[in-house]
Amino acid sequence: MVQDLLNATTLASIYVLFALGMSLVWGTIGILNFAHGSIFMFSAFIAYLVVQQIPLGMPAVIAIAMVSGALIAVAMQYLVFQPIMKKAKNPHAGELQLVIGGIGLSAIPISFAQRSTLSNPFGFSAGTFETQAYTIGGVIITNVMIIILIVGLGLGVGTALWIRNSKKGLALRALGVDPEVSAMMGIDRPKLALATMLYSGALAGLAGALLTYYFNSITSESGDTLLLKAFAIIILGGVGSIFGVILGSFILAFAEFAVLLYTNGSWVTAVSFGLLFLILLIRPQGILGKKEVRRT
Amino acid sequence: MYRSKKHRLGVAAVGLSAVLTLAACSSGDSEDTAATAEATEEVVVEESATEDTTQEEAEAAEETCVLPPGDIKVVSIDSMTGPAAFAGILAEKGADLALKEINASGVLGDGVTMSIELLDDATSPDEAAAQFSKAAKDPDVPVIMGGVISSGAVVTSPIAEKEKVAVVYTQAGSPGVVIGDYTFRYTPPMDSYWGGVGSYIEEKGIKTMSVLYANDNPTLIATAETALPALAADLGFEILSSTGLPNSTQDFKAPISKILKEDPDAVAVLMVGAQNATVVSQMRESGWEAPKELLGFAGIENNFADIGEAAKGVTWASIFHVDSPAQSTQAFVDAVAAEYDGEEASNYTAERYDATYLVANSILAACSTDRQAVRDAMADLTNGSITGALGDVTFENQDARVAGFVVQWDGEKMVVLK
Amino acid sequence: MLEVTDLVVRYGPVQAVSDMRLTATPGQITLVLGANGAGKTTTLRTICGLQRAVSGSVTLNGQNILGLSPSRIVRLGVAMVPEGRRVFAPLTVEDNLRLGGYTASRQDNDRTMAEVYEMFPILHERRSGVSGLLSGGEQQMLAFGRALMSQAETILMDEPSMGLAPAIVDSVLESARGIADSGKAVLMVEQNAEAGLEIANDVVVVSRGEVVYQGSAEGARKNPELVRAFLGDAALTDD
Ligand SMILES: Nc1ncnc2c1ncn2[C@@H]1O[C@H](COP(=O)(O)OP(=O)(O)OP(=O)(O)O)[C@@H](O)[C@H]1O
Ligand SMILES: [Mg+2]
Repeated sequence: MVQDLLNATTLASIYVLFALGMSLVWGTIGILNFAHGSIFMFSAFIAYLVVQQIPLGMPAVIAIAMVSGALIAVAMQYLVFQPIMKKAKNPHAGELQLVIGGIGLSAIPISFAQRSTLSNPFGFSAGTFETQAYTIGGVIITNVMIIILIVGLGLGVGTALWIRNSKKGLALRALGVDPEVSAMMGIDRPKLALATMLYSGALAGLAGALLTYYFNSITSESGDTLLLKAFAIIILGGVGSIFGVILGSFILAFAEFAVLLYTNGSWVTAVSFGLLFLILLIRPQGILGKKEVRRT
Repeated sequence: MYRSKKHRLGVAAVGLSAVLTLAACSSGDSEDTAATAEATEEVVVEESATEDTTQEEAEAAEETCVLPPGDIKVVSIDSMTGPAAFAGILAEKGADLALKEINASGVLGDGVTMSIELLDDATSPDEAAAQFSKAAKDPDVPVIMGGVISSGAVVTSPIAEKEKVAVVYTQAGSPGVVIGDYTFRYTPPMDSYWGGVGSYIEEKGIKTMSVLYANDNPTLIATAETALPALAADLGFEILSSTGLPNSTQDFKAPISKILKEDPDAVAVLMVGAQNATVVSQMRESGWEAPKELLGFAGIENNFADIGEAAKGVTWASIFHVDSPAQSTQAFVDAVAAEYDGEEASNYTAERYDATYLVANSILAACSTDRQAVRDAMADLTNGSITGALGDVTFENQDARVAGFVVQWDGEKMVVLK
Repeated sequence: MLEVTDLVVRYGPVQAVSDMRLTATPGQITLVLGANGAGKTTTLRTICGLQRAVSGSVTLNGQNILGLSPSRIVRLGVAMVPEGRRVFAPLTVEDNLRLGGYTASRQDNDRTMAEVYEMFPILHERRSGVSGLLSGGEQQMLAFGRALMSQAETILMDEPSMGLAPAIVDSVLESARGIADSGKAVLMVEQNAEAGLEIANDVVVVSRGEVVYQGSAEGARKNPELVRAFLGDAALTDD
């Protein structure tokens, strides 16, 4: 039982790591980035390519993945998202174009990795890091799990507090509400958007590296699988709420875990997405999302 | 280079012999037959091929069996991009090799060559259906070679039956693919040979088993839900639980926790791609070690590169192995190595290599590129046993069957146990 | 002092503003009147950098600000109270004020926030409440306060009385007067000509993007027919 709770919490932390950056970008600068999954995958893939040449340890692998993720995300923002946002006639048309742009963008790294790996899984086994399992009071925990728990929950809570309490966090929240008035307040949207994408990309890279260590290998398509779940998590928790991401991650992870523990499996997708529907029926804005309050 | 070519012709003879005799009847070109004469005794299909041919056809074949000079274009629809690209690319290597040998040997006749128009289905059933419809509607296409994904094949098979054009699939191992006179498959469906691991199960005294399988993969579903229970009844072991998981599952700690509580003797892992690596490594992290067993399936080795040692001891039945004692397989393995820079031959390459020969032989046996004639010749050829890269292959309703080997992952590669 | 000369703004084929001339002077309220669609909002949006101009100039104390980004223009001292107030509805009252002071120093923020709370005690009372739940009048006060927080010397106000009950209109416009009296230059667009003229120093009437009348508010108050004629004319031609 304790083992199961620990494992489910680790899974939740993984979801937090992945969904955090995506939620931040969506909730603040208004980009629902469907390329987040491929940034995640491709950062890990670049780290994998490097590790194939030079046997590196975990910190170096993580650093490579984070830098790769940040660079890819910034390039996407600069070359695609920003021009789309600039050209968009109205915010709604812009949103749709951003989603389509993201889907289009995501295909590029995925097909590149698919071709290069022939769609076989890849991992960091050529590196020097070894997974160690420890048994404490009958509960098995690995060094990778410990890192994921600390980093996932730490960054989740840290980011949420930063968004809630810092000046830049406030500016980001304002951007999520009304970009135009935010500009009147002196908030430099393009600069902040670039910084947010950079952070989100680095987080995607971090998640990519840690997940590859945890699952031992991933495939070119792993990012897409997580993307759908992250989408559900963000909606569940409430768009724009970072604490919502943490809550949503725990709900999804524990729901999946419970279903897999007590049924023969086939229901896992139905239950987790059924849960999503249920919550949206009761609270359309998500659990921690704020209802739109607007007067005209 | 020349040496290896000669070697390959030896293999080619295995497949081509039936046709060569026909060709010899009409053209009397002794040079063509000379190169492969030594192999003609092995021909098994020859008799049935001539027997089943109607009187007129047989006469026509004997008197005028000279294919008109030119290029016979066969369409191949394969997954060259997308998640199944690894299989598609390897399969096409087999087709290319076979084609090169066939054209070099000149067996199709003076000025007659065969070529393949390769269409990429991008691992998408929709794309496969669209490509297939186009090819099937083109009357100049005598026969089609089909792609590797089951989800595509179940859509394209009805088109083949409707348009009356023969299609030979490799992979595409699910039910609903070989559905009538025009659909052939050169890869035995996994559920037909998974039980090859039965001897291992008995030897290890496995009495209880838990199963983890991908519930959105028709091949693995058929294996888990049909072949395994049948084998369990046969060998008298008990299946404690069978857990079907979607391809979105990335973490397996929960089902593993459930299985550990059941405490079976063996766990059968029938997942897709990286999932297999994760299941096996997470099982090991949870303390699953010998004498507890892990059983896999053909192709699972492609996922073990990154977990290496953790996968040591995973055992399964395979239809192809480079160390197979069959002479025809060894000749093929050498040919692949010579053609592709020392590459180790894979099952995907082997199947398509054999399938390409089947296509060429059917055209020659029919002595025509008429669709119906080619399909009838193919039906005749697959009535018997065919020896090729896969060793001896028989067919059950146009669907391939092989005996299979028991193989095991030794930490770095798979080795033949039996 | 803010000066707008020969400003031309176009939305595709639609010429929204042509030859606009305006000035805003410290301590004074310049009232801009005009029918719907006359180009008032467009002018204000162009001044604060949200809209591109075709030609013309906007200067602040002699320095050109046309073509700069909105965030640059606030820093130079022009703040906007937008049409429809547009408070950050899900955020608290205090967060809205902090956002107003985004470009200002910490000391300025603390001081001005105290002043704003003193000017509008209701905002202090509701400071940790969600701003979207404030009444229309309270939201207008918040929009004023938010603009003041920027430390800007010139404040643009787009229809501050819009959608407010008559009793509240007066108090809101009184606050605007107070802001001007504290030394700020106020450029105010209003539909409510009568109430606007009560507190303004100068008046400008625009019709179809052009200035059709310019004079002192006092003169207009004494001779209301004059303004009404221009306004009516504008309304007529707009049909
Ligand atoms: N984004 C836009 N795209 C195209 N045309 C616009 C846009 N915004 C305003 N217009 C047009 O420009 C003209 C001036 O509009 P503007 O909003 O400046 O008028 P206004 O004087 O503020 O009117 P109101 O009193 O109704 O607020 C109108 O004809 C309007 O239809
Ligand atoms: Mg207006």
